[in-house]
Amino acid sequence: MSYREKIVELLHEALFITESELSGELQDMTPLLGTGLDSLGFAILVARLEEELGFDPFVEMDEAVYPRVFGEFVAIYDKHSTNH
Amino acid sequence: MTSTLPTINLYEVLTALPGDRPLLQYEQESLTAAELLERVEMYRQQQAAPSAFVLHAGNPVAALIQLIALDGVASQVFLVPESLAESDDFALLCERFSDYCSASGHKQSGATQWLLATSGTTGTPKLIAHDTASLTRALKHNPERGAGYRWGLVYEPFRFAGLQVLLQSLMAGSELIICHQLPFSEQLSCLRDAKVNALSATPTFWRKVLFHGGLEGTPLQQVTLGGEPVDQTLLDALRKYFPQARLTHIYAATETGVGFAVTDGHEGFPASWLQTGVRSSTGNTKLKETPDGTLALGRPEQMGGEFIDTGDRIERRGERIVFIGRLSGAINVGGNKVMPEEVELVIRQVPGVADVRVQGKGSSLVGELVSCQIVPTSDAPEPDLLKQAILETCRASLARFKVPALIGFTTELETNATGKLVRK
Repeated sequence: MSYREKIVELLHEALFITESELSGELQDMTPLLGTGLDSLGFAILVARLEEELGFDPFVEMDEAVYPRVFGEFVAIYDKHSTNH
Repeated sequence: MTSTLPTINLYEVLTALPGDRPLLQYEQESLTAAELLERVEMYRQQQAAPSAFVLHAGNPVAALIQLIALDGVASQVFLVPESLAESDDFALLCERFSDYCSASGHKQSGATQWLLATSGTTGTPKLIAHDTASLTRALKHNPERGAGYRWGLVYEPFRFAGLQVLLQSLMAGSELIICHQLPFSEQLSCLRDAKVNALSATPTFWRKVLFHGGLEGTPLQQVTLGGEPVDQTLLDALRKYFPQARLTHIYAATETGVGFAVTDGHEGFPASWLQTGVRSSTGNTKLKETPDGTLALGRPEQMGGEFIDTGDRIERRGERIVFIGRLSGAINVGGNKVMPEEVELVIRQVPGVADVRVQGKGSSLVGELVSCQIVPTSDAPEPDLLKQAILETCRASLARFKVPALIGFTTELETNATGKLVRK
């Protein structure tokens, strides 16, 4: 399973846990605020990804880079996967 | 906490400000110092001077007017944040307020006592009495410099952190942009449109700002963090995004009414402060480590001088002291406190759960998340079904941030020599 697929799967799980709904279709240019997840939901997504993938790129970053859209979020995981 | 600090009166602070100084923006309303003063005086004329008063923050402009009008007039004022007014604890705290007033009696003169509710770290919230001098002790009182600042208010005005922002802008005559009532994305546009250049918020709020963007190009000169432990990653990111801003993290507690600020851009605080205390323009705060490994703060001499245990565990890392969580095991989810026992009690009611341990799991985005380990009974449903039942039960009786974000299963929970659950 690619990181993208894993992220989409766990994003839906985080939506379920926080009783939120995906607002519209999930695309690379979807702003993270527009995915339906709030900050608690994102925190759950990042924590679940850490459980499943074994790393949290937002802890390991040498230089803080924060994604704004869904595509950038996936790219950060792809980039950090090379360290693991 | 009643102090022997020099008396400060908010009405006098307001009258001393230049009348044309813009002071307040809330929704469509904006007020100068003179306009605010006029409203305060109107309130004073219309209302009989009360002895004890329960002041709601529902409309923050009206609340600020009353706060100023009542200072030095009322004996005791209970400051009620909106979130408290809606909670189950409100009735109980009203009773406590009434008991407190009967015990203290009506004073003909002297400083008004402000009663603030703690966030309930140790279960039921408590009322803590302050006077204006103790509340404003750490604030800057320089209307000349204050003219250059526009503060954004994203905290509830009648919680300790919000009150500090509100009083800071009044004391320094800086304009206050109130936007705590808006959803996050609208808060950002409000802060941007108003050209706010000073903002105090939790680390979780700042991570959200960085994560979602929206304050780029805002002329922030002051970035203040408080209410949760601050980590180096966040400080570095804020330094990068707001290079011109002064970065301050505040360590303060409603209970103590004292605290200190760290401005060197590093997480924690210098280890040497445990010997020297923290010197600032407003006095010296003594710090020490308790036998439990927590931080105790000394009140200033004028406020009694004794040490108060904050319950925050500390650890030495090189030349710094960093915070590593609460002694009580309380979990801090984006500034909201969760007691593990409260969540455990709810989960134990779920059929199929033999035992449970709830603890904090570090989060790079909101500080901590609620995590639980479940020991299922032998006849428990499938893990997925049990998980769903746990979520449903928790949602029905707990605030959203208390609902476990992570649910795991195990066969046994670790206990210590006294048979208690090991929480770390």
